[in-house]
Amino acid sequence: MNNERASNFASVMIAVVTVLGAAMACLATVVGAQAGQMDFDGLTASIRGEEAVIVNNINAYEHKRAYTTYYRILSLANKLREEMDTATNEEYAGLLRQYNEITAIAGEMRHNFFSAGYLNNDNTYNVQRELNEAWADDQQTSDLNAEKYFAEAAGLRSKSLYLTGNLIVLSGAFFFFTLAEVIKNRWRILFFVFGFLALFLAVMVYLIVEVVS
Amino acid sequence: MNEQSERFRSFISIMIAVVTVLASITAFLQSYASTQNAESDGRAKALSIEATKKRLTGALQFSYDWQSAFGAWREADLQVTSAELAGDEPLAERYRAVREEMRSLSPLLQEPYFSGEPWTFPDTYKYEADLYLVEATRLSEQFAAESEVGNNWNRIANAFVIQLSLLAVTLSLFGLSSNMKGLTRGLFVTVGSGIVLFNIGWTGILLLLPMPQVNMPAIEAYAKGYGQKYQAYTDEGYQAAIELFNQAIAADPDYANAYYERGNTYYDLGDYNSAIADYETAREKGRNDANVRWNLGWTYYLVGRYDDAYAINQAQIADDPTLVGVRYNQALVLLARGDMDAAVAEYQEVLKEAERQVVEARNAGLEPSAGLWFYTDAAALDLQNLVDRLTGSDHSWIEAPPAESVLGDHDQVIQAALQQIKIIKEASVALEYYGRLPDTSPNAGTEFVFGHDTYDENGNFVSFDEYTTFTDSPSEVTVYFEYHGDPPQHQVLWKVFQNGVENRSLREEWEFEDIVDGSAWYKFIGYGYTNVFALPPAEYRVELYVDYRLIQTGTFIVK
Repeated sequence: MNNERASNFASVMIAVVTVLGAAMACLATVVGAQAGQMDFDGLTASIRGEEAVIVNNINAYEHKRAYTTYYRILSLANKLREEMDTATNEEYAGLLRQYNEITAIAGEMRHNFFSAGYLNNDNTYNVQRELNEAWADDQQTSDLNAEKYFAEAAGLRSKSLYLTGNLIVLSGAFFFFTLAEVIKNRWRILFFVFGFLALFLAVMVYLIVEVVS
Repeated sequence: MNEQSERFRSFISIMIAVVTVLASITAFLQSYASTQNAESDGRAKALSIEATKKRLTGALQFSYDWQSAFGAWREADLQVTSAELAGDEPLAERYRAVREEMRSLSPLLQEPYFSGEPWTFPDTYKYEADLYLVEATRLSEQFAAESEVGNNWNRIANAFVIQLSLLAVTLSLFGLSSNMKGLTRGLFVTVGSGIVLFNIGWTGILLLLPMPQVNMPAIEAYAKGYGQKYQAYTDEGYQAAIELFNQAIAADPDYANAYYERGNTYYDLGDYNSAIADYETAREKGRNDANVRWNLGWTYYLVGRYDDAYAINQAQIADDPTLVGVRYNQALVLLARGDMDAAVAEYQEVLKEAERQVVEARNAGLEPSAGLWFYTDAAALDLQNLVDRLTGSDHSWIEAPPAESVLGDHDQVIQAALQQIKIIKEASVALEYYGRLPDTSPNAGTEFVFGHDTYDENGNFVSFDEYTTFTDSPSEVTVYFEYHGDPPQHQVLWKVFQNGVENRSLREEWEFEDIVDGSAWYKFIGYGYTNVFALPPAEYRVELYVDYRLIQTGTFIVK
């Protein structure tokens, strides 16, 4: 290959390296921007998740408050029942009226103010079951998993970093091809070799980054 | 040659200058787009937090209004009734005064939400809509719109970054071309010039394309429509919601959420074809999530478009096979389509999936989704509705396709449906209490007889009178039965359904140690523990489960 053709070839390789470098820089920037978007989506999911937890706790403990009233009244009703069993005729009517009144309130609590489905067999209230079921419901109907977004954002930022670092390898190729263009003696061949090696390394690094990500 | 070289060098210099100017303009536009993106993101974050705050404070306030304030009013209301029934008028009057005092505790207990009449409930839906729902919806929609604006600016900024990279390449090509000769030089100049022209065209397109906007009139109308739909329960209420959604769509013809919610409103009105049209439009406009597909699939089923229902359900199941509600609907579609074997197989698969979710959740110390129980019960109800439609037993609560649209032999469909109802109900009980699908078949049976006990003035039992229809506002109904079979080993459970839906407060687990073959029992259904309540008019179905198997059902009516 004569000197002129070698110089032209070196110029072409410089152009190729320039294009690849620009593409790499562009990709690094875009990936970095995507990481920012993932962070935003993760924050949104995080806020949604915390809101769901708080609302579920408000509802569950609202129901438990009603259950507390129910439990208090039930205890009183049981005491009245015991007294009614040994009451005189005169006492019985008054006790019965009280009993009817408070059991109506207990029944109302159970019917309209909390779900009887969360009462255990021993008449305790399973607030944890209510919370767990509500959370599982929310997970099915809304996107509450912030971690997946943050993990993806971290991955994208790493990718951006590696792509930017790969520019250093490409700049090495640029340097050697420039030397190959300028220098006209036998050293030119060595610089071509180093240039191609650096270019090959840069391409390999890019492929590895793409595959791993 | 020297003159030609000189002219070429001048041309290249001019082109390099042009590219430099273009690059500076592009850099400015990229910076502007990035700034707009950042500002939109900032507004979106603020709106998201504001919407969350609104919902949380609203939920907290409503919690007090309903539980504490209305709870106190309701307690006094029941005490008034109890005193009246006891004939103690002075006591009743005192409680009436207390009841009236309680109304000052909350706006929920005042007009326009509550009349204060005895034995009535406030319009909590209207209250919630006014208190926080409309505002929170408006903020959420604004957040979504700002996010979309921000995303668009982000895409534009990225496009300008790519353009800057291309212009850098162009500069390099022009620079290198000055050292070249012949074809290579020509190639570098042509490519470089081509990139410049491409960039100019692309920039023009980016600047001329319409930008998404935060359309406040559309959002306001949508939020009001959403609140109106939430509180509606009459045709007029639903129509008012539709009118508001119409306004939102007129302001923004691409408003996917507005089409979806208008579709839901048409569904509530029973106008299934309009609902389908809106769901399909919502999908075209970009809303293609599980909710849209689920509702569309169900509505297709209701109008007899089984192939369409099957296709859309299948698409959703492919995305998320854990949604048992959709899978139950798919099995129902197969049954209505006359694919009996496929329907039975699908029901089996769904129940296995339900079991998997229960086992997985409980092994982790958690609970499966509340929706799993709800949709399992709904699956049985949907099958019952189909049977009722095919047999002409129409109830006001039935949701089923027209009988003439159901394919295959109707008798076979009915038999298959009844069989599946039993399987699903048993699975629901076994999964809830046992954690697994039932694996035993108890040898047990019984017959129900409904009626009233009659007592004399001394409280002594006189007789048991049989009825299936009760007209005297009973506080409770008695079920008499004789048990035949092996003694229960794990559980005896009673469930009571009121107009198709279980009344959880009437569910009861029985002690079963004394239950043996041939023993006779009375079960009381209702509110006999107090004289204040009565069973409301409805159709009641009573179910008895022994060791997670449904061994008997019976129906009585209160008029």
